[in-house]
Amino acid sequence: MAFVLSERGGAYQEVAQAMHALLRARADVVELAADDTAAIARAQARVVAAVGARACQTAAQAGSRVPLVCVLLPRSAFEAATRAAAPNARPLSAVLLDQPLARQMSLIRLAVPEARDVGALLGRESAAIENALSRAARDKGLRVNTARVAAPGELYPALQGMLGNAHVLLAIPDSSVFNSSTAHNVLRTAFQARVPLIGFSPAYVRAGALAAVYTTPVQVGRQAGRMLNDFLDGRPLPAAQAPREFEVSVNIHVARALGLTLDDEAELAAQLRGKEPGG
Amino acid sequence: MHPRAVAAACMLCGATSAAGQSGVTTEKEFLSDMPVVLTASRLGQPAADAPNSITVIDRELIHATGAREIAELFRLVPGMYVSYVTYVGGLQALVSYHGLASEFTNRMQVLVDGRAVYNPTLGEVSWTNLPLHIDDIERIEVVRGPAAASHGANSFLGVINIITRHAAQDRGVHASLTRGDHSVNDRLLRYGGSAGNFDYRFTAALRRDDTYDAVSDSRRIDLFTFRGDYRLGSRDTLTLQAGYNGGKRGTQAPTSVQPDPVDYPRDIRIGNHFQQIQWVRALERGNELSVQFYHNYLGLKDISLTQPAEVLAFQQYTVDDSVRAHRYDLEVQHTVNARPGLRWVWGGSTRYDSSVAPTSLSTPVGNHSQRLFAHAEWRAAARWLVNFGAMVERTDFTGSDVSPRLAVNYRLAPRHTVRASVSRALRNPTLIEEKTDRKYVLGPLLVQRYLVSGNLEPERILSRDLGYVAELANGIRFDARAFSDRLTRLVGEVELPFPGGYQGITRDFRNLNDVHQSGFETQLRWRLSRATRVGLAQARINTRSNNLTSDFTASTPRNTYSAFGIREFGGGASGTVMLFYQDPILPMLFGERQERIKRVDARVAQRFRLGSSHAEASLVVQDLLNGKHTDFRHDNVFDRRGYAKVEIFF
Repeated sequence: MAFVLSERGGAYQEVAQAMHALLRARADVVELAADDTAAIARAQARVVAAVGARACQTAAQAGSRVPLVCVLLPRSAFEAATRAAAPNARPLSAVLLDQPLARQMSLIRLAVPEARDVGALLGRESAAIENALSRAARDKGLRVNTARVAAPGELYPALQGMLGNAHVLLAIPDSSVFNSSTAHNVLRTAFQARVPLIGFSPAYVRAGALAAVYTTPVQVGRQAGRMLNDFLDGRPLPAAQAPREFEVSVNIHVARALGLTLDDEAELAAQLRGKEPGG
Repeated sequence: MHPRAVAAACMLCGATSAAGQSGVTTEKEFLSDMPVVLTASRLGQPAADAPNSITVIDRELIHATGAREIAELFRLVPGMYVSYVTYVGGLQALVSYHGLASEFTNRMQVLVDGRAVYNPTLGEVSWTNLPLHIDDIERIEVVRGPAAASHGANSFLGVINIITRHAAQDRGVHASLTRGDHSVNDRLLRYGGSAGNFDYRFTAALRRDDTYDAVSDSRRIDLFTFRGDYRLGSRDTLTLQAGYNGGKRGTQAPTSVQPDPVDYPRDIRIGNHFQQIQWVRALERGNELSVQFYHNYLGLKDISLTQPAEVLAFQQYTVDDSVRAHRYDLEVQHTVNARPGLRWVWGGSTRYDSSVAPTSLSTPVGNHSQRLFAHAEWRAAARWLVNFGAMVERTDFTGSDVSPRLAVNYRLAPRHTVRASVSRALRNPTLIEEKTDRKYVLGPLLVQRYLVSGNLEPERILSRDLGYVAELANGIRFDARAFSDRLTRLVGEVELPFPGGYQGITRDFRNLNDVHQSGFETQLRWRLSRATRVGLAQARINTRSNNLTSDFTASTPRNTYSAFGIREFGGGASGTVMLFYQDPILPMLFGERQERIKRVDARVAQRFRLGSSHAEASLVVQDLLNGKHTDFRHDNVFDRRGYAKVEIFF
């Protein structure tokens, strides 16, 4: 079995270790760097686990027919990396980072019970989820107002227009909307309009989002490890999976400033787990 | 956003991968660290937890009023007296909570991004001459009541806390042009951009007007401001600001009802500027440390030749009534979230004020002052919140004093809170009150306008209030307060014999007046729908005083009301109506009786697109029904007037 890591150390290593722990003694594992394309193409393995978007992209383009599991990346990056691969040419799966929309809507109901209108800014990559977003919101008794951001200059007019019509803003991961140069400004503008923002990482919450539901690299690694175990047991690779385990992070200072009272993080996470299908 | 900006940003924060640069979302967006944006000082307190009643004027409201003048916004604050006088520095707004109006409105703290802007010489705020453009303001919080523990020296009757927009909130070019009655001719050009982790904004503006027909009060205001916000990694931010406000202003002393050889109508020149640097570090658990240094400079050039007059044997003399004043201030502040339910902010500052004024001060004057402050918020029980704190201040003039405050908030029900508070605050005497030796030596004639004995005590206020705050789910925010304020040792002017001087008199300042004010105020803000927003403000104030130097009793309007309604009509059209009412008042010193004011202001606006740019055209009419009222003096007659504005964002 081969693990391809986008980078050494950090979250990538945590994922690899978590997968390793579940696969203990079942398979020999070689760890390869994503830039070592020759080694990736040569790798003799029953299955390749690629950690991170770059690793997924390199492994997908290696021309191999070995089954590939991409781990720790958003759906858009997985789709971009594997778009070129001919269907059925190679078994593909993934453990993604994007939280299911239903889970995010449940968090909104718990964190901001009075909110009915959810605002979301959609960029080029995320435009396609608009209908799914509306459905997920409707199922939880919410309404979604979306605004499209086609060019960087449209972000603030779109945001300003939206803040008047939203009780809460849901950040959808899309680097054309939320990136390191825009996130701080979106947070500040939303706060000034007294609209809480639901982020998608603990860093967002530290920076000033009200709350986020997110999956840690270790949790992603465990899920991938189970998928690889099943594969080694002879089961086919499933379709790409959303993360199953998750944590909730809350910024109590922001909550207070907005006049909101939230349960603590563990309590919110437990309540969310209770709302999961089959949970 | 420029791709270069992303790349530069990530050299420091390691946030975006090669894939990120080409615009694909990767795991980096989920995993990377991010600067703390909503720091403790930005978050503030929700209204229900605050120890004072607070009126917020946000950017949306500022824009909807169409105001050219910052002071006009304060008409929407319960209990605020707003008027205008032409005096030192040209036409100035007088803004004073709970009246006690005179040409020196020096009993409020005014902060712009934490910088105290009241003038160290006169103690007042020269609103016209502030290096601040109304379009750069994000939000104004008016704290109604003493708040020295949290807002520093001079937070006596209240605090006006102005917060400008973060540099990153203005992108691209914004230009506007305003033309109207009374020679109104304003232009604005603003550019906001970024380079890596550095966001910046330049604002350049010209403002021209000539407000009252019978007064020499023309203003040519040249304004330039800069703000840069630099993110130093994920924990530190640095904010750099600088500004300039200069130009020619018409002036005359309000005494010039009769021709006066010295204070006749003339032009003066203003050249004010400031520099400010603030460093904020976000610590663990939402704690924060900030260090701030600023310098304010007030430059007023007023060199004139006396008018030919019989009393001067028709000789003409040069009079230099210029003022140059500096303020240097260094402040350190630490916000601590000790445990759930207990947080505090504490810190200290040191300040040096100096002033050179050849006619008013016989020598250059300086005043060192230091202060330590601490303010804690303790949730004693689920429904009980206690705010307590104090400021200790020491100045060269008055020695050391303590300004404590205690407020207890009790949550009656989830959206209803009542509050009881008691606080004490001081207003330290200004350089002028302590040191003035204002005289003109015109050949053989000595005109000794003021000769003060100094050694004044600080003015004191003991304020008690009961408040109620409701924030209802249907968009209603309601706030009421009843107050009883005992003000003692208020400084007033006395006339003294001055043998040998012109007219044989001079003036001095004395701590002679005691005032008691009581009454109640209400404020309602209601967002009826997405398109409609209304607000009401009311104040009733009973004033009693021993009136030893002036008529303090009549210097506060008994009843004031204001209301606004803002409506979006769809298709980019919007309208605003504002109503103001003020009972008669007799301001002190140079003030003259103002009759009842009933005034209606209105604005209509239409937004449209010009290619890829957004634009708006608007028309503001003040005193729509032409009720004609006077401002502070009988010759300041305010009648119906209008101005039109076009602005474009591209």
